[in-house]
Amino acid sequence: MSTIPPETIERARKGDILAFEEIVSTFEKPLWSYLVRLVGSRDDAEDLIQDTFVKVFKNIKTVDPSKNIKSWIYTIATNTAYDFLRKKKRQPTVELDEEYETKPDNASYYSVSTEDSVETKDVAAAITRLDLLYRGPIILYYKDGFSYEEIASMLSIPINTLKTRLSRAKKQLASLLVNYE
Amino acid sequence: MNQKEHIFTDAMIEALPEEQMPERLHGKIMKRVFLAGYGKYLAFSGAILCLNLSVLSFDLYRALTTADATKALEGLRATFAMTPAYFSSAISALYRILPLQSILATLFTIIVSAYITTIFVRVYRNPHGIKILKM
Repeated sequence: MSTIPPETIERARKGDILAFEEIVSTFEKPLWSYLVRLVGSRDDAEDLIQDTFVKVFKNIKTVDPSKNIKSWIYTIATNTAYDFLRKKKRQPTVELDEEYETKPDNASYYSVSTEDSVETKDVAAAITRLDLLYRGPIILYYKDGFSYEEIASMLSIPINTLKTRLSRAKKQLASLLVNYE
Repeated sequence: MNQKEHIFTDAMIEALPEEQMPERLHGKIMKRVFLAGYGKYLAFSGAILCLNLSVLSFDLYRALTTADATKALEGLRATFAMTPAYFSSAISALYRILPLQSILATLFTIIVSAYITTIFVRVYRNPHGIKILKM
């Protein structure tokens, strides 16, 4: 459910930039974490979060205030990030399908620990090393608490495909965690 | 992966702490939003005000460079004195030379331009977004 009152969304829809700032303030922190983990770079995430909110502002009139605005904002963020990663890979025409499994080249923000136990930073590092296809679903489901239906709608994929990706993502994550207990 | 490993992985992902957001990022986001939403209106009103100011400046320049105006200004320069009578006569001479509506329009344009510039600069420099507009 949206944590923004429908009246605030309605005011933002009418062009009230202060109401829009309330929306930004509510979602910027979780969205920031999501984008940093998705692209693996704080610099890129900084550009992407700005682009995302500009798109949200330009399209706010199309949103239904009674629906979940959080899901809508995350859809825009996800598409913006995937477009960016596609361009970065110089594969602008490639679709994100099962064959498209991209290893991140920008996972330098995180590095896997050499210590014996698995730490949260190891998990964070391993997530940025997941195939692009799996990174989004695993963060959206386990970290941001979206339902299967919401994520499937965001990524425009069937729920069964999403479940398969989540299962594969966890397997890949486990194999990446070299010190996994 | 067995069931135990699945649960462990889920718990580890869920336990990931939030990433610390850069302090000035909120301000950057709102600046971008402000420019995206109002930049074109600012540019348009700025262009109109510049055009207005140019036309008025040309009008005033033309009024000040006529033969009568030049003669009157030379007379004022020749009789310069720091007296109330001199300033009174200078003002009435300028009032005869320059059309009042042009002077008022120029002053109005300058004030509006300064106001818009101030708002724009304050919004742009404010690191905490656009809450300054509430003032």
